[in-house]
Amino acid sequence: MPENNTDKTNTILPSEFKSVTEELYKRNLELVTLYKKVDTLNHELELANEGQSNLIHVMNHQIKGYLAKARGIFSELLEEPAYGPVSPAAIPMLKVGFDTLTEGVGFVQQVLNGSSAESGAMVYNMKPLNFKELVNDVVTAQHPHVDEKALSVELVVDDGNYTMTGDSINLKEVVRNLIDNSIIYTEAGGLYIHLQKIKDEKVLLTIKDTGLGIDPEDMKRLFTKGGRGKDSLKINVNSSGYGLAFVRGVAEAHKGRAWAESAGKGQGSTFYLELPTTLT
Amino acid sequence: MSIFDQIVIKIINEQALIIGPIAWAEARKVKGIHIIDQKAGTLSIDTPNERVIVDELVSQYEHLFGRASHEVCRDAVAALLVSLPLDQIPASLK
Repeated sequence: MPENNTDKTNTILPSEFKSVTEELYKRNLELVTLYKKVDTLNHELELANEGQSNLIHVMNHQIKGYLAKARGIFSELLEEPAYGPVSPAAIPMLKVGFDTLTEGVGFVQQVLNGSSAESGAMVYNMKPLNFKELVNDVVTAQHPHVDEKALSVELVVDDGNYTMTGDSINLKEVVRNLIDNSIIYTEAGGLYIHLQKIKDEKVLLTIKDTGLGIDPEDMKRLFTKGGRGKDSLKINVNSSGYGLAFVRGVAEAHKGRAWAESAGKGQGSTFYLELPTTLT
Repeated sequence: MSIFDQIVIKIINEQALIIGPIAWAEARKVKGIHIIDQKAGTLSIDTPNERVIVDELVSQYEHLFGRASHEVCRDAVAALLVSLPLDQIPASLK
């Protein structure tokens, strides 16, 4: 009879039910076991990353100390009369030594700053400042580098009040980093820098260059520690890979953001820094 | 909280990782287990039959989910059993 057939197909015997629940249990158990393994590995990875960051930090502090000490010795030899006259033939060599060590200290400091800004360990001195003046100062200071490469630079500042709250030293370093970055990776053409207010709440700094551009693959890790582009060392042998991590870290500490856009390699890049005028 | 309270909670929590809230529903069916607050994971168990209650809880899960669930109970409380004398360890967990 059809009715009996239907009953038969819908009936689950207790033994069948148990085998289904047991099978489901085993599958869930496998998933939970896998989840626990992944969780343990994640935890171990976090500890390893933390250990590595601490090690890098300690090492860089030590290296910076040695470099700074050596630079001090070169400086003394060049400028301190008490050591007696330096042979004129030795002066260029001493200057090269001093300049190289100055670059070395700057490099290590950039790694330390980038690392501290990204991890949130950096201490900020938030005070009222004029962002327009700050940008103007940085652009003016960068002119020798622009001239050295025969690039053009145009700064356009929209009307408005650019008073805001922030850490002037770190923000200056952020703007310098962004402009310096564009100069380094631009071989011909130049930079267009635009500062504008967005309503009364934000300032937006845009730095557009005609440089190397950014590969989409590089874009993903551009603002992370050591996240330099894969070809960047061919252009900039001194790249620490921490400059843009510093930029993003400081921007976020100011409740702002930093990002970049590029149509790709050889298409130039545009860097953006958006900051709120107040921190509340 | 007695060691047996801890054993029961540990077993239920471990089962809950695998089967979700059903673990608590099944524990409620065991005579002698009184769930005070499921969210906070607090309960009490009747004395002096604690070992029997633990055995019944293990059996409750095994009845529905088979041998694998029994092993899960045993593994879950292995660290807690270290502090118990041998004659105090519930038979199902030996």
